Amino acid sequence: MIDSQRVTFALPSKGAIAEPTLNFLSDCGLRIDKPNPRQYTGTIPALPDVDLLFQRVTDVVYKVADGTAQLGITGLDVVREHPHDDLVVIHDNLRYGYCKLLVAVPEAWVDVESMLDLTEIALDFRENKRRNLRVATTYTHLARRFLHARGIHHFTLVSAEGAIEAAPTIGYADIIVDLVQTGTTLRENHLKPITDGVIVESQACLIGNRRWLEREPRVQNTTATLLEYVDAALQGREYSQLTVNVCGESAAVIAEKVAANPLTRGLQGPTIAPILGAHATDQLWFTVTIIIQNKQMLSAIEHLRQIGGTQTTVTPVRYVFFEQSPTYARLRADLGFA
Amino acid sequence: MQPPSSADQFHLQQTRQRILKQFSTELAAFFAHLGYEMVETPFIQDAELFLTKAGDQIINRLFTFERNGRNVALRPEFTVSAASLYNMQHPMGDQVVRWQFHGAVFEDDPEAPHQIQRFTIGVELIGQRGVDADAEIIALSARGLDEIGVRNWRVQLGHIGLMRALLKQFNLDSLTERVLLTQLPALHHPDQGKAYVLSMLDQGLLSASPTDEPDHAFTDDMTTQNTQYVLDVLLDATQRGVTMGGRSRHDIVERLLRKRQRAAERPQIAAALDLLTDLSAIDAAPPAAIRELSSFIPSSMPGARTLVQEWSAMIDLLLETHLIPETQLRLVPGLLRNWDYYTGMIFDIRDKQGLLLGGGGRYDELTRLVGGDQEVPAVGFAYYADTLAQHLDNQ
Repeated sequence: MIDSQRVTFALPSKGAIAEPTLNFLSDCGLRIDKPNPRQYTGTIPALPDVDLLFQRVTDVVYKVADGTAQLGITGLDVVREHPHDDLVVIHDNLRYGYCKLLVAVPEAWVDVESMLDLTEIALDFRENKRRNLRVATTYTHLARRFLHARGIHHFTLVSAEGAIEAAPTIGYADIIVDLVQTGTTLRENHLKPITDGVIVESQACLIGNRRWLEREPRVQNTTATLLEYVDAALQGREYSQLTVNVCGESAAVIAEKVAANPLTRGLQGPTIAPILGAHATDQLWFTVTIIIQNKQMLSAIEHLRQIGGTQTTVTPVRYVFFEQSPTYARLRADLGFA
Repeated sequence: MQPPSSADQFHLQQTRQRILKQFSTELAAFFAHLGYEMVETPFIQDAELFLTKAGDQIINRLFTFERNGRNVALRPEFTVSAASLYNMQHPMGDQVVRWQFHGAVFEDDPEAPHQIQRFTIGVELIGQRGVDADAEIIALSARGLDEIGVRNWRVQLGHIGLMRALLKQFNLDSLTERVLLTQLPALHHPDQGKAYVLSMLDQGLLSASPTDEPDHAFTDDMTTQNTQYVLDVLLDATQRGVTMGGRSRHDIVERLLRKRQRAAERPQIAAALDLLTDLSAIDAAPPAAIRELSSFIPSSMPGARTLVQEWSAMIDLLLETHLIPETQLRLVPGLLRNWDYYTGMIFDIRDKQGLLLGGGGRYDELTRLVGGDQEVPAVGFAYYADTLAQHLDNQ
């Protein structure tokens, strides 16, 4: 039974993104309690109003679309395959579960590199072999749309639930449209991807039910809290806290030197504290603390060395909270709230 | 369907619906008076029927779904259904029929997911050859507008048959020809133009395969036999030959050769693009436009000359017999319509603001393409009733 005072959050129970989803939420500070691994429910102690419902990725989409669950995490590929008016993609960049839905053909087709080649081959099949190009896929909706959009109109979709990559070898299809992570499975089955044949660049995404989100404060509040954790944790991965000891005349002089380079200015500016009684010389020592972007760390450290910094330590930042959760602000705008 | 966002919009829709109902009744009576019999076609048909010869743009928007393993579609227009109906009723292809249709047609536009249904009024004249039939249909489309009080319409005349005939001098394969014709609008797009089209072709159609680029031995005097040999070695050495997906080595060799040949044909393709650019720059009143057009037709192409003469004769009929004012006709050889089944003259009707009210053309191959035993000459047009209602409402 679904308690009307609570929020149901559907998570993938199986497949490539099931385990990574648990790890992701846990990294966000949302540890999951799943008392019995064989049951389909669980809780998140940090979000006491939330009931978890574990479902297959496609069922996550169905459950959120029909409103049984108000929120869910699944793959973007599955969401695109099953479009629904009541489905909102709240966050499309959770940064795990990366894969591509793409068109692949036998490696032996050395004459085929682009979708335009395939357009011609589909015509050849029709004219010379008197049959359609056969395409094996579980993503019938996206595959049909994409092929038509690329000028390929005469094809037959062979829908199958698994082992799509084997279809051209077994002989029940000519080409495939399938999810690819590393490409190893394709190679092992003597297939190659078509460069301009990528249909969806997929990763894990957070979805919600539009109608619940529009009218139910409890769902809005839970979504806001969830997004605070998610945004802050994803932002946190981008930054580190850096402390460095610098010798100088005064805190103000050091602050000026540090902030002279935008790399070491931090989010607002350096925090500077004196180091007390640790030295015999007449020079003063200070500890500078700044928050820097990880990708700029080495250049930042180089600048700090040039102004006399030493004994630099770097610690990861767990969360960065801005004035508001940017994703929640965007969602409110999408839903037409002020 | 999405509810109208305001009372005003709701009122607007109601007004247009009323206008639409009124003029479609008037048009039905007008066409019937001229011998066009009202015919019904099914809403749902095999998707394959519409995929046969639709334009790419239409197919993107075809409303298809699967039903018990069959891929079916909601009708996107009437002409294909008309050709199919003609085959059923007149399998010998020896009857002249004048038909009219009206009703809902459907398109599945991802940009406008709630605008699925549109209203169309169509007329088809099947079984009659020649410029008389072409002129009858164009005049009918113009007179129909007069009948319901649309003022300031203008007919743009194009000729896809002539464009194809002129492209024949470059000996292009059918895919290249098709791709070039679909690029006509890009040739005059301010941000695109000929260089853009050519670079697009270089990336796609004209790109040589990496397997055969480095050595020149593999190019000029390459025979099918040694390509076959190279491919056999290549496929065996790499074990790529295990999975063939329904194509034989011969198929692949044959197409590799075709691709190489096409890459070698780049100069012809560039020349074809030059001609298309010149032709599609013409946009003038008929006599001047015909003169301008004739200057691009080499004397070595009597077939194309005949087409221009016929086209010119058809325009004379419009002016002299059907009394269409010359000021309301423009000749635009670069005109393209959404459907690929057209084989001869084509036309658009727009209002002064450029709103597309209707259009049509000749489609002589369609009966055979949808399963008939022979090609039957045919010509027709359709009004886009929703834009027509919008125009009348504005007017």
